[in-house]
Amino acid sequence: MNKPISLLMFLAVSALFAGCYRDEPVYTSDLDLVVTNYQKDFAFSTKTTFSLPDSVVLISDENYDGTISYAKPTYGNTILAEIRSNMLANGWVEVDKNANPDVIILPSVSQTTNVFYYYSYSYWSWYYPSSYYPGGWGWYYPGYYFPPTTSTYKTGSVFIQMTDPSNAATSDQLPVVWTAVINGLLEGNTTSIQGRISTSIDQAFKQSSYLKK
Amino acid sequence: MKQSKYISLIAMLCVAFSIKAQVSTFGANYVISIPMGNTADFIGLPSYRGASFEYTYVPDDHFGVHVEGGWNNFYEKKEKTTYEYKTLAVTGIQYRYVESVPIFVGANYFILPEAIVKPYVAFGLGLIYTEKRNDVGLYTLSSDSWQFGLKPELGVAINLTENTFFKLSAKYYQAFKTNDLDAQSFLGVNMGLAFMVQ
Repeated sequence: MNKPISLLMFLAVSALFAGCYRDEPVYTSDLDLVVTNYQKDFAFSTKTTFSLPDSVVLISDENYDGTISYAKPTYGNTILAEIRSNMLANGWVEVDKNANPDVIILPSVSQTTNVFYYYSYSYWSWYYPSSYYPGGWGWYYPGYYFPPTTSTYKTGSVFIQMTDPSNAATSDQLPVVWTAVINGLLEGNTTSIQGRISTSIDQAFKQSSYLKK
Repeated sequence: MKQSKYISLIAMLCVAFSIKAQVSTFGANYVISIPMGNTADFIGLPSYRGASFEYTYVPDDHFGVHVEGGWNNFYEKKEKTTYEYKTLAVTGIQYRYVESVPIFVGANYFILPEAIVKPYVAFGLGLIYTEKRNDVGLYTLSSDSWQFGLKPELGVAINLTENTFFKLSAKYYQAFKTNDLDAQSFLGVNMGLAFMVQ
């Protein structure tokens, strides 16, 4: 190969690698997302009292029989404490659920395990008799040539729903006047996850200035 | 006076080398792209990740035709910010990407084909495949489209040896709006080598 061509090839290959490289999130907290929404015509300013349950409901696929599961107290208590401190800081007054609160806040969590399964295109492959495979047709076991690999990651969501019990009379459904959804990777140690949940709940209140008294 | 010195220097270079008639060149360029228009609204940073390849056929001293392909990767991380839409507020880090793959044909006009430093203008028509992606949290919002495009180009080809050139050019790419994607535009600064293949 002469000099200009090899130089050109070097340039092309360098550009190729440079072009393919992409930055991606580094920390799990980089993937944290906080979404809030509210009912536009709800008069937040006229409401003053709120009530919180003792535990956080865990939404999972295993609740077909109607039983209720709860989030682990390590996370459930963090969620409740963070909601409580933000509501109090915003000027709301906490009352018992039977003391006719203006709003009832219902937190729940869900967890999903995502599984990736990689395998070769010749997962189950089969072939006709030919000169290469004399003696009839046959097939390969999956992963015979390229063993399949799997990887998993867990994601979690915290849902905070502020409901208006005064308007529950007409149906069994409670109107939700404010909702916050916090979503992220459920990876790392307990302290780190607790910290990220707290930061995200604080953020949910921060971006909802209409909740301030 | 200073200007006439440059002119005489260019004139000297003009006689030093002469390009052969009926030649073809193949070139590869490193591309830095500056986003403009809608592309700049989405990503404000220049792209340092790009390349282009060109095949140019010059049947006449002044005129040539070319085929070009390349790609440009724009990227910007938007730090944790709250975006509001009506009653909805979303807070998260956004990772924004625009990948642009132009495929063009065009014509060149070499102003001083005999000179060592050969300035040229070119114009191209073609298609640009654009993928626009926004990663927020664990979610991705993306759209992609093949868009019709135009490309005016201004550049110089400098003889390094008799059949090798260093090329420096500015290409303005304009991709037109489709149903899937708004109009995109960027300025690509290309630098690279080209060599004669016949």
